[in-house]
Amino acid sequence: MGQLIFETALNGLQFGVFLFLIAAGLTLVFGIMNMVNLAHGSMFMMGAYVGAYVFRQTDSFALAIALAIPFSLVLGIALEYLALRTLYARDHLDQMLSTFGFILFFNQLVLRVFGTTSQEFSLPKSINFPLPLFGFSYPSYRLIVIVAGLLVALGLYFVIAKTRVGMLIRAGASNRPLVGALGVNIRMLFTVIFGIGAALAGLAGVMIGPIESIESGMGESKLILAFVVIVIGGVGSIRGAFIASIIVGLVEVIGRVFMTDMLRTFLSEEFAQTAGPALASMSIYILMAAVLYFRPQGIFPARSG
Amino acid sequence: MAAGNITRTAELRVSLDDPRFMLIVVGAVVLALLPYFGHIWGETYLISLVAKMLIFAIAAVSLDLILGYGGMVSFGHVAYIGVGSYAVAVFSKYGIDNGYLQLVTAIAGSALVALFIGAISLRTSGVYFIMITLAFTQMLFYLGISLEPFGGDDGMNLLRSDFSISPVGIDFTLNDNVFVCEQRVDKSCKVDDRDGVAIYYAAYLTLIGAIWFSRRMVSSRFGMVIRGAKANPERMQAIGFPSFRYRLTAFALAGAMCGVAGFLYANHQQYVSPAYMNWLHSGEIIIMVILGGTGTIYGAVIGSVGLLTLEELLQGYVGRDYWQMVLGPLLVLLVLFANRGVYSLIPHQMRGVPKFVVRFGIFVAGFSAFVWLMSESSPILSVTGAIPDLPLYVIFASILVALVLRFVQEKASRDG
Repeated sequence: MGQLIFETALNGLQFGVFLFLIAAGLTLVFGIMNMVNLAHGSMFMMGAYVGAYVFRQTDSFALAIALAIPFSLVLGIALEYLALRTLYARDHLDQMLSTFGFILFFNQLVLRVFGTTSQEFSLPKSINFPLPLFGFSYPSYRLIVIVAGLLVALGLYFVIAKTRVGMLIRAGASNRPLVGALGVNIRMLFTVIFGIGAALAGLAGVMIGPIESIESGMGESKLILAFVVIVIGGVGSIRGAFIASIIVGLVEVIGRVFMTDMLRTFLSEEFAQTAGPALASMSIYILMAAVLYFRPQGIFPARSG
Repeated sequence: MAAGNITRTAELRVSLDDPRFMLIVVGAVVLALLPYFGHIWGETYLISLVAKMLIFAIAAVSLDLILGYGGMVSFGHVAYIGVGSYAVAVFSKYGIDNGYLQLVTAIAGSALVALFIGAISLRTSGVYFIMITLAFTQMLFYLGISLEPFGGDDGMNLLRSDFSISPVGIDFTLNDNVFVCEQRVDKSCKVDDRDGVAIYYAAYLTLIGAIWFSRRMVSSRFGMVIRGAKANPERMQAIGFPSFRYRLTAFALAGAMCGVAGFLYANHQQYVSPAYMNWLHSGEIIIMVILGGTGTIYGAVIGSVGLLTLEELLQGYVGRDYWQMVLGPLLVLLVLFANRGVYSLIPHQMRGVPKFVVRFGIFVAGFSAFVWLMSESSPILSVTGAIPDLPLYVIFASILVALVLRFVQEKASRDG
């Protein structure tokens, strides 16, 4: 039981950190450009596919990461430059529908280019082995994901809090027109932010590739979770996104493992068997609805600092 | 977006001079006769396909009520299709096939669910509203997946909804044949084929009812409050209307109407599955409304027929491997360049008709040529021999062209 609790908690943390990688880009794009980008999940998916492809060709996980990140960076910038740029002035509905069009496009594109079967991406034993930790064991690769994700979060915090670009990003999130009026090349800033977001999503894709199955449409469920995260955390706030990611990750994973057992303690066996999984997969949406109901601006809205 | 304020909303004149009115009359007559000709030509699939279009048109009309007139962008409208179809499934599971009972449950159930979702979502606005409606639909989607007694992920097959009233001798289910004999009714019948005409007419009549109801609603006092609340919620509140209650009522009404569409869809497919509640389908219904034109009611019907026809054509001619790759960019172009909707392109006056017909003809010709070039019988292929991934190359070439155009345009705007 101890092993199970330990592993579940770490898995929740790992899932949360992973969600943060996707949500970070989304919340920046959403908060600063006021743009709803559904195609963000596709960037994640493309990262996973390209990473898996490179890994199969070269057998090097480092190379897979090293190539997938610039790939999604360039893809994100190209997408922004080609189509999404014209959408900033449009309303959210238009933005959602046209980026929805890109989802359809990318989902079928990967099927054409990489084939319809699920992609092979299994790590060698030298990277992924049961690691003894505090008297329990835990897969070493998942630990790598946690550490890498935390490092990225730390790096992102540093960039946003300490650098000039970060200052512009913060300024953009709290008052966009004023930043433009002060003579900042806001278009360039947007493209950069979009690229960073896409690169982070691509990184998330490669990282999750060995853990989950890589298939067409894999980005959509993650995208919706990322939206849940940024709504809970407050739009445009990196700090909020981080905390909300961890909360959502923990709730999702712990609910999936323990919900049925928890219900069993005070409900009939049959009912718990049915309601448990249902309640587990609904729990984060209930959480989101509750947050929206009581704090419509999220827990850490960017505009209040 | 189309028709932001009340006065600009396209009104329809019941007159031979209004091309829109004439188009609607012609459309209604064609749709009424279609099953008969479909039967004569042996095109059962066509009847089934158009029935599906009509069912989705009901859903799109109900969405247009709240999206087009109320400004409530529900990204979870398939939730009510789900509730409506599961209303059939739950009774069917326990062997109850009474259609009246199922229908009432579908309407009441989806209205209640919409009331609940609306009561929470309507406290928010803008993109938060979009997200929270999406979140609730995801909840129902996962609920459907985990409902093992009703097939879980795989869904379940359904009994026919039985609308018989035995005392008066009415013997009718929604999946009866009309033009072909069937063994259920006629023991001497040899082959037992579906012609799907009963469900077709059920959908057709329901759609007409839905349109009639919606037109009445949006021009009523109630509808005016909804439209006023879209244009300026604060002012509506200030002049003394409790806009939240009005909006919530409209939201629940739309949900109930969409629940009927779900009820019909379950009967049309004879099957129910959580996949009906996939959020991509919510996107499709929104696209139907936008494609046809928001805030026009008839536009939603045009959008439903248009989008499903487009999907069918692309699947048939471009191939199942490519059709979404072509549909995706088409949607992007649609949103970027033609977001006023098809309905607004149809002229008000008869003198505008020739120009419209010419433009429409050019569009259809251009589109057909495009599909033809992308298809397997493409003339490009006959010159070059087989190119396995032709649509792929065409799409990449067009992206490249777009990129160059973009660059030139930006350079020009910088220089000048």
